[in-house]
Amino acid sequence: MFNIYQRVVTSRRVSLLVRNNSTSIQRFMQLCANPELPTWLQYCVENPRSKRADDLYKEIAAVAHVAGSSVPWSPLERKSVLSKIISMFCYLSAPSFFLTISPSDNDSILTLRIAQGEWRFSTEWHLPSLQERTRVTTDHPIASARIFTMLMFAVLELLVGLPCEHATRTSTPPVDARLLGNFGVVIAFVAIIELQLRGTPHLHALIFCDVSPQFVRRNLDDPQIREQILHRIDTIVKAALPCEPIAVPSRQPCQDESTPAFRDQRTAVPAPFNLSEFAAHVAGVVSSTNMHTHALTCTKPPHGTTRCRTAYPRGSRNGPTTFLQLTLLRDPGGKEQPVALSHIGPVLSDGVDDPLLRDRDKRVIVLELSRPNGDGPHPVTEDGAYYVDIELGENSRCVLIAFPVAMQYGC
Amino acid sequence: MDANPFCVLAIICRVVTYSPALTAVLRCNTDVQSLGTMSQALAATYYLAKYVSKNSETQAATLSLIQAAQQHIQDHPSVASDSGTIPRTAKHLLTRFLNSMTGRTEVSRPMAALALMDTPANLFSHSFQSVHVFPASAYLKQLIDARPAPMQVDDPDPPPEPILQVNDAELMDPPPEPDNADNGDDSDSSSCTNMDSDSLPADDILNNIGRVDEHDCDDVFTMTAMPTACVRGQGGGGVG
Repeated sequence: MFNIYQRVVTSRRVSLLVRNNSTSIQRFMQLCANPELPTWLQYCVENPRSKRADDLYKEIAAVAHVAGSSVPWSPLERKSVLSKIISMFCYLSAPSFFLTISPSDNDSILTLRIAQGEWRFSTEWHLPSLQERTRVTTDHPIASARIFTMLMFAVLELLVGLPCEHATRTSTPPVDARLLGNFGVVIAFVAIIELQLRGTPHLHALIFCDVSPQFVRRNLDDPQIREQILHRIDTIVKAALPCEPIAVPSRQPCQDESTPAFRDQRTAVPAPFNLSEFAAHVAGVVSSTNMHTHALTCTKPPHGTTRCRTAYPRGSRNGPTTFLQLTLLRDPGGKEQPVALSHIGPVLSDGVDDPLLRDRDKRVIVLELSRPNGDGPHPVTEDGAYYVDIELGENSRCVLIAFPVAMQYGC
Repeated sequence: MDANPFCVLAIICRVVTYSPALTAVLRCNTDVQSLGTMSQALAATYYLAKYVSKNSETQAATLSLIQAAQQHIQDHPSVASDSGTIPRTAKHLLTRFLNSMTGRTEVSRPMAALALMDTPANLFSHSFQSVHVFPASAYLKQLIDARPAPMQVDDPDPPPEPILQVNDAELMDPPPEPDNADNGDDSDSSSCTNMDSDSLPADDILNNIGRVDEHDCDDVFTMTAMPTACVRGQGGGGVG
């Protein structure tokens, strides 16, 4: 059905745009009429990097390319996002957050109930074991897809703060009339649904908020506003466990009695004002789902060939969330070393506007979150601030490494 | 710098950044990266731009598809009246190539389910419209080049500025008051010499176009920097 659906859309929306160049068209027609074409194609397919393959590809690409509207869920549609991201970047400046959500369809009660036809909720209903839940959700992709769609739409509208434009007929409200969402006052977002290796969907989103990186850059030298920005970021993003995770078994009937409470979606989420229970719930989920474990994707080139592509594990850092300036300093041996400074230096400007940023400030400044606890809930080191990044260059030489900022620079 | 800087890695942190509210509600793997500064924002944007525009149509794959299409039209020739002619063969090959390129994909079942439920692969908060800036600019320049020659006047003052009819001239800044407004012309003295009430000097239009990128709001900075594009309001006014 999907294939038929795509073919129908393709036939309606897509066409090959033949360039209006009589010379190239004549050459292409001559190429099609050439009796040697099958032989050439066979050679080129077997030797795709050969010069003849290059020439043949250029010959065809010079004549026609795909044009028209995008076909849903096709590579062409994904490509069309690029121009929209750039236009949003140009119109709204840089995004404030990069969000990834990978819903656990195995734990979704709604998915299981739809898949199993359990329309009526019963307290006697036993939560299947993880293996059984995986089997059910795999066998019912429609149920998984429906719940995923509803979940993502709800997250974007209720937590992020703006509905999807295709799901509403009204215009987005004025900025001043928007409510404060989980990420602040959201200006816009762009989200992309991707599928993981096992076929389950996940979502990437760029979120444009009122406190933009441009705003941060312009107010870096104002200590008061900088502190306010850091405090706000601290309320939104965390990089450490809030407390010791305790795997409390679910009190609801489960086939697997060791199912922890935070994985049983029949158990209500503790209210945020009940801090201890809320923190325990968050700690349980984070320790279960948000601890990085190396996978095949960590080794993707180019960076993945020398280290974990996502730069995990990262160093523990006891200091508060702060901005660090990356720069090069000469060590006593006269060798330049990249360092991270917790004191932001004066504006560096070469007098030339960046064509994209329209900015003359050339300082490289990064946000470093507080990670005081390592993998555990309690601080394990004395005061000290580390900016950790490991890059193995050519000949496996370490070119960027952990910097004990506080000890070295007395910050 | 320590002799063995790797030693600091004894204390490691594998916690992926998260938002407590999202994590508590969704109970799943999330990654919330705060792009605090322009450097990080640019890196994330470039990553996502590259991520979403992965080219799945490599040269080798394209040539294979062309070969398959060529083989197909050989085995199943066109039944059109002009079958066998060079133009028909070329059209047949291109059509077959297009169908092969968009029709032969391998998708997972959840993806097929999402597509059949009309779930878009890309979600936006705003809709987009293409604006063909370069053709518009070329058209404007064409109009300016084709403007009528300046009217000859007896006044020894410098000749009046060339004019261009603009329908939505009110969107532009009002034209500057000419120094020689009192030159004996009977037209409204608030507009340029020899101009209708809804017309602007062509040079003023060009100047306005040039000034769009140079304007910078006091409290908000946007790429386009037009006042109408300052949708970020009092950014950071309530960051506390």
